[in-house]
Amino acid sequence: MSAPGIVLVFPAFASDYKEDLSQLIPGYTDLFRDLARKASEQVNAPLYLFDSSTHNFLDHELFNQYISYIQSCTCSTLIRNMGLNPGILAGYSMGIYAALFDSESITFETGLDLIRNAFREIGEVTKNRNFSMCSIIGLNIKDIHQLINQIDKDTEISNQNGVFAFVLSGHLSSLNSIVFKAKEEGAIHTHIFEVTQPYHSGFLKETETEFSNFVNHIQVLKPVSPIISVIDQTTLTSPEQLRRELVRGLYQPLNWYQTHLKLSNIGYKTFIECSPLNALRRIARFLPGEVTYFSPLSAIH
Amino acid sequence: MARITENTRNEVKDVVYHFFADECEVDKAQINDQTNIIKDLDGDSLMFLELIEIFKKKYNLDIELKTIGKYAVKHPVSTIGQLIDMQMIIIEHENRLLELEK
Repeated sequence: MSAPGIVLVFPAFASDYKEDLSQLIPGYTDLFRDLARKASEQVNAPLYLFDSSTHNFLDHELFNQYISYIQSCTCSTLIRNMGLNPGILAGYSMGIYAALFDSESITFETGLDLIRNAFREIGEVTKNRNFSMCSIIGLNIKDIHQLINQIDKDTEISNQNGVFAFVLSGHLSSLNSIVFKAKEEGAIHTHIFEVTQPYHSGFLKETETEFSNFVNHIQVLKPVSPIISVIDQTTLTSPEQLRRELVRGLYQPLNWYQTHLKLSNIGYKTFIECSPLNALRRIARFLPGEVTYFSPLSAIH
Repeated sequence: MARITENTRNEVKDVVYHFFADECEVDKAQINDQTNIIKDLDGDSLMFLELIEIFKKKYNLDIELKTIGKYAVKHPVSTIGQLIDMQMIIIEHENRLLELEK
């Protein structure tokens, strides 16, 4: 089945949201188990012990990324096995690795190696410093810039999820102050993420050299489906573009909002989230455009 | 300031119940005024934001999100009934919402 109007989207982190379709998607449990065993051998971690009912491992920053990657690879494989060919792929943050797997640019094992190496390089650059990320919902970009200027000019907007929805990266102490002030200024919701790294911010610029060395030594093939850059919304179709995206994705800010707008404006109306969870479908509710998000369960049915 | 009629609360209640039944994929009959939005429905702040936009359009409200945010800090909402009460106050007072605090 050819479906050029379909976008497959890949989330960054696994979560313990109430909605978890992993028991309902036909074929999911067996394939996830197979991939988790394969992943456990590749990264030497007991990922096969992951239990979707107890959400173990999800508070482990690296393991969480592995689990999210395995979940996404499982869903995308099941969707591809139906013969569905998406028009384009979009990886939210670390979701880029699963998008690369889905596009057949990298192997399943290479995706795991990328996650492990990125995490290690980031850890080297930020060691002995307390970083994190936070979300602020309900303030506009001008308000956010004002908060940053008032409290810590080094704090960065690392992603925009909507007109009134932002993710910031920076020192944990600064983020705590910004969140406190944001509430005073009328933010509807704020949240400090349970992460220890300032993903997608200039704090990680120093990862560039070492991570480039790694990325330049792995095999990256031309993608069978194009991937949209969540950084600048260009369409990535060559291995060179993908390598560059992998490296800069660690230290440059994302803009999921603009990515969504771009896809909507060029005619993509159907999005399928490659995950048994619904993190991106939650964000999408407040994005403009006549688009519909589906779970893999809906897509398979 | 929007005119509140006897029907307004029923309208608001109907919109809120329909909205959460639809968004959270639960039967409307399972929702009541004591239903906890986060614990029972797995709702979130983006839903709250979306609902505000629905009411802004429905009643042509002149209110900034920030004003609602400042009010909500002092009057946190956890149940459907509390949310309906807050929407009624927003509809009635719009951007003068914070004057109620004085």
